[in-house]
Amino acid sequence: MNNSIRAGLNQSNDDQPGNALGRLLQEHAEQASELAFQPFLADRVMRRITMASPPEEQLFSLLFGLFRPVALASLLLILGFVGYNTVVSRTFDVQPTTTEVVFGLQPVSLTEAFTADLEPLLTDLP
Amino acid sequence: MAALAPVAQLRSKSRPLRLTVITPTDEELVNRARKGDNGAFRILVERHEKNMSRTVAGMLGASSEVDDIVQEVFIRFYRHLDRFRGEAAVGTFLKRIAINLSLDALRRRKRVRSRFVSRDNEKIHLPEPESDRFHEDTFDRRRLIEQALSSLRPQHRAVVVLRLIDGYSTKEAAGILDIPQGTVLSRLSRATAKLRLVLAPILAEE
Repeated sequence: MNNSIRAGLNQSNDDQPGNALGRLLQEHAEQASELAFQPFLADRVMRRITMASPPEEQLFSLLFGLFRPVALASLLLILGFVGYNTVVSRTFDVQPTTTEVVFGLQPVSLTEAFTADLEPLLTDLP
Repeated sequence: MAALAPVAQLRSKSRPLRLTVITPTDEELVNRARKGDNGAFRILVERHEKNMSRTVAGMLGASSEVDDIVQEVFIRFYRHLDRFRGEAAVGTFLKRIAINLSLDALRRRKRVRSRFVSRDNEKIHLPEPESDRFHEDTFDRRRLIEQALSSLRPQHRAVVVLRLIDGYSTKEAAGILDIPQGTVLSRLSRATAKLRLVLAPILAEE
């Protein structure tokens, strides 16, 4: 326990539940609880527990529960792809832009676009 | 008379009947509830409802939200029974849920108020929602305490409730609120200073 906590503990000796302020607040909380609290709480809780939840609520809780693991797995997958694309982009002759690197796009220069080499495709034809 | 003698002897020799009621612990009830014993869960609700309602009422005042929040505390606990590992006592676990739900309710209340107040040019004082069942002669006193509590920040109020109303130690309060002990002490110190200032007339009477 460090010194500041010990000093605080010593200072707070008068902030105890048994002192005048504590008693006043306890009494107030008791009264407020009696006024606001309705009887037969256990019955109402048990009724809500045993009552079958509607299908849409079940679907919502299912999706809500699935969201975090799915989002985490997707994020890891995306990061994996970005890493792979970055490694692959180093082999390109033309320096790709950041967007091309991230999305794994092939950098196409204007000249390459107009002089499309169709030979490899044609050789595959029967 | 002779026929009755053995019975009389039996009565005199027999020990007085002692009825021992074995009260199950919270952990036993939780284990039974996990296996689908709703009766066990009901005993847990009945055992802790008063304590939880006092905490929530301390946080929110005498408003109609108290009952809903206390119900929600037990329903959340039921839904997360599997997550309860028994590292903390059931009461402490429930208290943590109660404080978190109360803090959410206070944030909601603040949001609703700011939405309406921001539409008006001048600042309007909106008192805490109160039950209309307050008795007239103690109304002012209660209203003053309520105003003093509502003037505190929700996090400070949580510390006051746990330390001064529920009587938890600084260490326990820090564990429930998941904050360092030093923070509990500084919040308590600031909150009590403010409360003493506002409640000075009442405290002087006592």
